[in-house]
Amino acid sequence: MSDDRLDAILEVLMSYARQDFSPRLAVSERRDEVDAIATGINLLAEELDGEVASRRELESAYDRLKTTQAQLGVAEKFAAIGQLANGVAHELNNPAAWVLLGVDAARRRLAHVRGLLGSDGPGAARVAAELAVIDDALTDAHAGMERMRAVINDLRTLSRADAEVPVELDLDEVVRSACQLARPAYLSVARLVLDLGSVPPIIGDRGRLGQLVTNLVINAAYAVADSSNEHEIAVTTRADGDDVVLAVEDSGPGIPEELLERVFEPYFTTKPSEVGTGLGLALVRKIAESHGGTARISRGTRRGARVEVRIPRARCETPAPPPASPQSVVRVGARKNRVLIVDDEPMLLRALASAIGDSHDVVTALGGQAGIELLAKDRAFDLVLCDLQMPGVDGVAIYESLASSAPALLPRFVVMSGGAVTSRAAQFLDKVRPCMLDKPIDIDQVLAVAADPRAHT
Amino acid sequence: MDEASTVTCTFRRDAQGVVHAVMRAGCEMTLADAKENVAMIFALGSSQRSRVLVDMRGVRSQTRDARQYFAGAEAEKATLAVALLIGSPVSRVLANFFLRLSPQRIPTALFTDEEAAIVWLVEQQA
Ligand SMILES: Nc1ncnc2c1ncn2[C@@H]1O[C@H](COP(=O)(O)OP(=O)(O)O)[C@@H](O)[C@H]1O
Repeated sequence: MSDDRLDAILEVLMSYARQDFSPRLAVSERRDEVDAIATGINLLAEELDGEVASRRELESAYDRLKTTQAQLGVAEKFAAIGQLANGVAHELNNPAAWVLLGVDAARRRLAHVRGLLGSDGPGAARVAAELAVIDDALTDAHAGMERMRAVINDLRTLSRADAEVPVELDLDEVVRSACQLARPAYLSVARLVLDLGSVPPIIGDRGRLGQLVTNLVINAAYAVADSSNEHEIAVTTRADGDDVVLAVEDSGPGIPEELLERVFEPYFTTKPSEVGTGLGLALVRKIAESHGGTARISRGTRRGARVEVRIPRARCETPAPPPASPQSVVRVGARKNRVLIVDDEPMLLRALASAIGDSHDVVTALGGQAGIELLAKDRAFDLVLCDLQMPGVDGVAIYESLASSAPALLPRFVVMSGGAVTSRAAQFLDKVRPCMLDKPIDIDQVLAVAADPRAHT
Repeated sequence: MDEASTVTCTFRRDAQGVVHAVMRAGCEMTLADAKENVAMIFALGSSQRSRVLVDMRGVRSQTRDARQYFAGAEAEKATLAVALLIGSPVSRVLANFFLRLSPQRIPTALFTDEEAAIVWLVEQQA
């Protein structure tokens, strides 16, 4: 064998040893033994090359599988967290209500005591000073509870069970709750500009729409997060023909033209895998479409991304029930009314009775069964405050029983409801549209209703 | 039609129905060539499966995907048995690789003697 041909063979063998299987040996016209060896080596290299390629393919398929699995895990976790949040909100509701009512009652009593105390007598000044401190503490406690109530409300809004019956709702309200919940995400990176246009009602699912808004705000916050400039996230709503339009816009870097459509693909993400799931915008589009609407992304006026969601407004506008907006009600010469309160939570019952009892005659029934029995004997009430969800006989059952036995009471029937609505209850709310107080109960609201039931029911 | 040719081979169908495929001297067989040749064998056999004598003595190289095609389903539709006729050391290596690395769907054997190859082919049952 000539040295040249041997060197050539050696050369390719060395490169194979370095895992580079691309070089091939020349096969001469002679097709002799050396050519045969070269052919064998060439064939071997081709085999190895093929194997390496299919192994790489396999590895990359495996990698994709692993990320997809991780992303699915995250989605599942989100769903689980939503459920958990809903459960927690529900559990917190009642205790929050009675703490709030208790604090309220204590403050009113305190004012009373201060009135009794007068200003003379030894130590009166010291007692008054002590009472002032107590009053401050109670005021703070009250403010804290109010904040908790707002958080609970937001959680409820956003984590309602999936199978919620679509209801007529105010998108502005959903936006406010969602932005409140997403606050931790944008607080330190951007200023939130809310420009809500008092839009007409839409029919939809509060929880899903809340998720839509939260996703958009969180995306916007992420987009502006790593630059030091001052940033803005603008959330606007407006009516446009038959649609209600929601837009979320940020002053971040925006999205490159060629990715504008891809960002809606499930699992498309440019974020590190611990942060991005690539599901956010896919969900946004899905939720918009499930409401008969659309979601589009474009470059906004703030240079960053602008996501626009359109949802058709509610078609035939059923007259909305008069909102229980007691803040606007002037309580003059409040008369003493007779109020029945039905609730299965003894603490809440006591707190409510004590709060209303100062100015009205209050009768309580612990649980739905007791409520029905009581109402069979006594119907002389100006107002029936009834918990919606109780084990056994619930608010719906009481309403139905009144409908057949004492329809005159129906206009004075007010339900109290605290999230996690069963489909039976949701259907009831949708069909009957009773006057409703949200739990945790706001004492001013209850007092306003109790003072003038007719104005609210 | 009893004779034909492609870039890499010439074909002839003998009285016993055996298709003789002779690779041109120095031919370098790629996937495209493999497809063309199998199609030609199919045509020569009037869309029936043929006994084929492949004279590889002139071959210089053959790519992996060409080899896989010869061992695949398309080739199986055109051939009933294949005798590989080898001579040069290069054709021996190529034929052995073909025979031993690709699972054969149809009877395939190596020969250095053309007559023995024909005898074997004719013996193969349809
Ligand atoms: N406001 C925004 N500004 C810039 N890019 C955005 C914005 N919102 C979304 N994107 C881009 O779209 C991609 C997909 O978003 P999304 O579906 O919400 O999933 P994720 O946020 O988990 O990546 C993001 O990775 C990002 O590249």
